[in-house]
Amino acid sequence: MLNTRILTLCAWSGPATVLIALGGWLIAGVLPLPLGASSSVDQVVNFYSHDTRVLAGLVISSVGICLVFPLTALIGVFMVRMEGRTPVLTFLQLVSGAAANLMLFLPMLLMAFVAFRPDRNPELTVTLNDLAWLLFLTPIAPIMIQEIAIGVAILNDKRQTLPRWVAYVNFGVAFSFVPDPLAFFFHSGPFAWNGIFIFWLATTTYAIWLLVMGLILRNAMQDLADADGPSVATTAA
Amino acid sequence: MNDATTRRVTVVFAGLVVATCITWWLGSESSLTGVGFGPAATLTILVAFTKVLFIGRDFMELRAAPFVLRAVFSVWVGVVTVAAIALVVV
Amino acid sequence: MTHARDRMDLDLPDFLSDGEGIDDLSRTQSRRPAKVVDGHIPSELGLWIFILWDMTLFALIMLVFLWERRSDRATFTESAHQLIQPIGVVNTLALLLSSYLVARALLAHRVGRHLQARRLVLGAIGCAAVFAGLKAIEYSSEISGGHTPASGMFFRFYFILTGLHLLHVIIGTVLLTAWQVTLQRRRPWAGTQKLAEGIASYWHMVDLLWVAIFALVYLVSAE
Repeated sequence: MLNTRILTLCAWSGPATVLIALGGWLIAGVLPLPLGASSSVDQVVNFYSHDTRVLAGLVISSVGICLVFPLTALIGVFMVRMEGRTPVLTFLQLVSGAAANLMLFLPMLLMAFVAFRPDRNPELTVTLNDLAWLLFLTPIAPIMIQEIAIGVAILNDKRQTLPRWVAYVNFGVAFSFVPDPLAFFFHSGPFAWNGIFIFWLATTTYAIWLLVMGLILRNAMQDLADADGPSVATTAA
Repeated sequence: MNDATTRRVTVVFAGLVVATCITWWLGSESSLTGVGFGPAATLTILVAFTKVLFIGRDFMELRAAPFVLRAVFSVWVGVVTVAAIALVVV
Repeated sequence: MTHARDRMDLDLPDFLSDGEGIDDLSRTQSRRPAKVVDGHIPSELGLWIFILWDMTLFALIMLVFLWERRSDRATFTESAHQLIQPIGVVNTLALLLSSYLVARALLAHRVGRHLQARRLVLGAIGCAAVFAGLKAIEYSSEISGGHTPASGMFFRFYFILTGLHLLHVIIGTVLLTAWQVTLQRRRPWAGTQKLAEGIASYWHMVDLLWVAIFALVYLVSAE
């Protein structure tokens, strides 16, 4: 496959992640209203009792969320161009991005695991559901480190490979994850795991990040292709 | 230009300090002066967000910024002010 | 330059090539033409995306706080009276002063008065320290009085709003210190303009956020 085509696919994987992961959630019933920390045992058991639908949706979501790996790699390609000889932030982004992506992937699998046996002891179902949700929303460090690394690299880049405002979007999205550890402390209200400032804020800003990064990198690739001109076409052939 | 700007910034600062004291007085003495909760709260919120406008205009130097940025900032402050007053008083 | 370009399809990434490729400064020219705008954006546009976003998040939390207040006004008012208003007032004045000093520092830096600017920034950092110290006293007083984030809606929002704000004060202080360092090195204005204006704008944001928090959490709630 032509190198540029792979790069383009990686860029489009950003928006694709949003569509497929959210679509899977919609099927599973996680959207529009996710289970809350204050849901009763019956409500939790009832959710997982629609096991086929939940499983199908979660499998789709877990595949969808992993589409962020190609985007992470593409970001790495651009960061290497920005940093040059000592791409430490590039490596940091790759490493922390991989961890962040895993921390989004694992909870999807955990929920599927819960749906595997709907007739399990209800207490176990609730416990595993708690585990999945808290594991999903509370680890903020890997993703914040990833996005701060991207932002710093963009601001330090003298050649403005990517527009500088993208750095600030990264900082803004990272900041939006700061309230998430509060989910440990509250079972209801706007700071519980299904609260507006936790689940809804983080999902919205992360979706925006995926879209912005995907589209911006797509544009930047075209800019570079234009600048390189015919030499790319000949060497790529 | 620097001296005039410095003077203006100092005047704004003095105004902000006075406004702070006024709202504090208003908050603590409103029951004594007989001012109802509604007017007191509305006034406190209005003064507070006027302070925010001045901090943006003169400290953050939005006076010299492009119109769009100034407008966005001002509209933002206006919307939040109205929402806050509505939530408190209505 | 095409030499390095030809090697792009080989195994070696550019940064491992022998001195060419990435470090080629002939591509230093920014391909984005400078937009001609009326007026001067403090620092740069991207920062304002961040500042407005940061302000919006705080505004949302404050508005939700006011919304929650509607369902339990009596408890909120009673809880608000537990706060030590004088500390809130002094903190507001301290941040206003720090913001004033930062505004003056920027003006001084702009005309090359590095020493004066340094003193003003140090003054602002001092005000921030006073703010943080008083916050610590306030928090320990509240907690020893039995009021924690778990003591009901009012205190939940109080601790979260002021805690999140304190985080901003700490980050802002680190940024002010960084500005201090560039002032010490006496770098020319053109090279540090975006940084200095950016740090100053961030600090003013910290100030104005507190003005709003003080008004809503300390004053209006207690009225």
